[in-house]
Amino acid sequence: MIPAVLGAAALLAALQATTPPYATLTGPISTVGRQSDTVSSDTFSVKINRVLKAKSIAYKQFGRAVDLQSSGVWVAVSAELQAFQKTVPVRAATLIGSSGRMYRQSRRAGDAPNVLSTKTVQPGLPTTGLLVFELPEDELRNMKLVLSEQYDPQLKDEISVSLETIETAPQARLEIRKDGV
Amino acid sequence: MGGLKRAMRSKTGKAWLTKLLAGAGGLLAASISLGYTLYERRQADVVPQVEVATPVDAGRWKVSFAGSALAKEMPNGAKISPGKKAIVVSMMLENLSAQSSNLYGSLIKPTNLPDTPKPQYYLSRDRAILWDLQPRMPEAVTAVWEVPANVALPDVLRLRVEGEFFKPRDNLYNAPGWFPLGTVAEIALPLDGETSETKP
Amino acid sequence: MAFDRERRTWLLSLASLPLLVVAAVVVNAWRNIEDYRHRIETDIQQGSGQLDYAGAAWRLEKVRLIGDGRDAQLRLPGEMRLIIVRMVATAARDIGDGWSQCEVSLVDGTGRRWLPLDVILSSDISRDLEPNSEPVKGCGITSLHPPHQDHAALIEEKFVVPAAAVSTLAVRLSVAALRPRAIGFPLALN
Repeated sequence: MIPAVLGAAALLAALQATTPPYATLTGPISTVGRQSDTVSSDTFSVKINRVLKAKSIAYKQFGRAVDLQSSGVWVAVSAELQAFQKTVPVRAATLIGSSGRMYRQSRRAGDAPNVLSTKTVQPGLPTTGLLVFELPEDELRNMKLVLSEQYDPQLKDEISVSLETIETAPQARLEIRKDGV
Repeated sequence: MGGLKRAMRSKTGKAWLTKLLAGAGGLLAASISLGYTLYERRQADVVPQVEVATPVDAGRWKVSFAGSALAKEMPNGAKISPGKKAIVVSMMLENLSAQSSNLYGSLIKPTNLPDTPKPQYYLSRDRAILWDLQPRMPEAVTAVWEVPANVALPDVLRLRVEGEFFKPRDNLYNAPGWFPLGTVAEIALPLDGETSETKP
Repeated sequence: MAFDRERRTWLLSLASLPLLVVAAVVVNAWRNIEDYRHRIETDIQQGSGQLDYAGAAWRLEKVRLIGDGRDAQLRLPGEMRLIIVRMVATAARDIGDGWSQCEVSLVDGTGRRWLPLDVILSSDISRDLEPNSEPVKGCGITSLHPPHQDHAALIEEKFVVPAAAVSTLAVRLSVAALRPRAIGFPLALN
């Protein structure tokens, strides 16, 4: 009798200790991939074209020239997104730096031409755009790009792409034009 | 007959002792809880006063004040709302957490201004509205409070910095979160006259 | 004898345990199941003329395909096409808030769904195409002030679709109160 009760207690304790926390159970459905591949989840896919780093960013908005400086480095990622079954607005983009800190896409550059946060991906129409981030220079190794419909997705797809470390130094100025960088 | 009475008396004696012990245990628990609450309250009354340019660690944010002034226009060049005055506090603000955040609205509260809403923050580098602050990237920012023009302003603006602490697993969802800590610092900034530009 | 009866009762209780667990799960999940059913569209009534739904008679009024140069001499880059769908709803009774959370989408033969463009972009496009008229409102905004009995309302939604899918498209409309029931009209574009 006693051993059965102790055994049951031990089993229940093991089950309770290994239950994933609520945030994981109701959190993102994650798909992981590398920069060289097209990484696909159930609802959308990402193909990274280029990753550029620069000390300042320049573009034209309503004819006015905008020049953005930073205490760190700007990282611009050009990516192609595709939706499979349904319209997907990909609004959440985060760069996880080498220290594990999460840098969300910069709203300072939110009105630059071609930025993905203003675009909605329709099924059958691949969409290319820019994701702009601002981070300290020592966070640029082993970065991961995380994309989803919203920040902190709940039972929605999230794609995580490991970015190759760029060995070259950041360029002094990155100009964003309507037709590309 | 006597034996029965003695047995009954020892039974009631036992019951009386049990009640006494239960009551004493409950009283002990209540007094420990009260003592701890009083001890916590006593600790929290002492709030450090800081000077200009001294960094204050408020958990999620690190702030160091530069100065305060009355402004002629908003830091991004926009006009002040009609019938209002703008009080501008300039500071260096750094995000100490591990994620980009724009939750600095409740960080600083003025104590000697009549009830003010949350301030509007501007990034001095861009001369535009401040959105997210990235971790490990301190920026010079300004906080603007708009008060009705007929309010008498004090000579010295007193501000309270509210702190937060991080819990990796909270009590409800077992998820990480930031929780309020109370006031961690107070500062008195002389309120300069009207300026058209705030210095970071 | 008593021992047998006791044993039988014990076995019966054990056997009914899975059934009771299932019943408990279903009873607790019932509200979630109902919420889920009110967000999907499974029972779609297709038609080409007029369809009755949510207290009104609906019909497809006008469909414009823009981007291949034929309509408005406008060419869109690559495979992109803009489709503007207009529907008329004639109320048979007072709607009240019966149209809340109305969803309009385009569906093709393989089950892909295109959601309408957001209000601001849709307004901008309307003003570019017809600068002299007021943009027609979408379903969401019309549902806040639905037409009175025997009055009609015009609803317009815009979609961006690939050229290859144009020939198989149908428009689908549903409201929260009646989901999973929905109505659909094939667009019959070539």
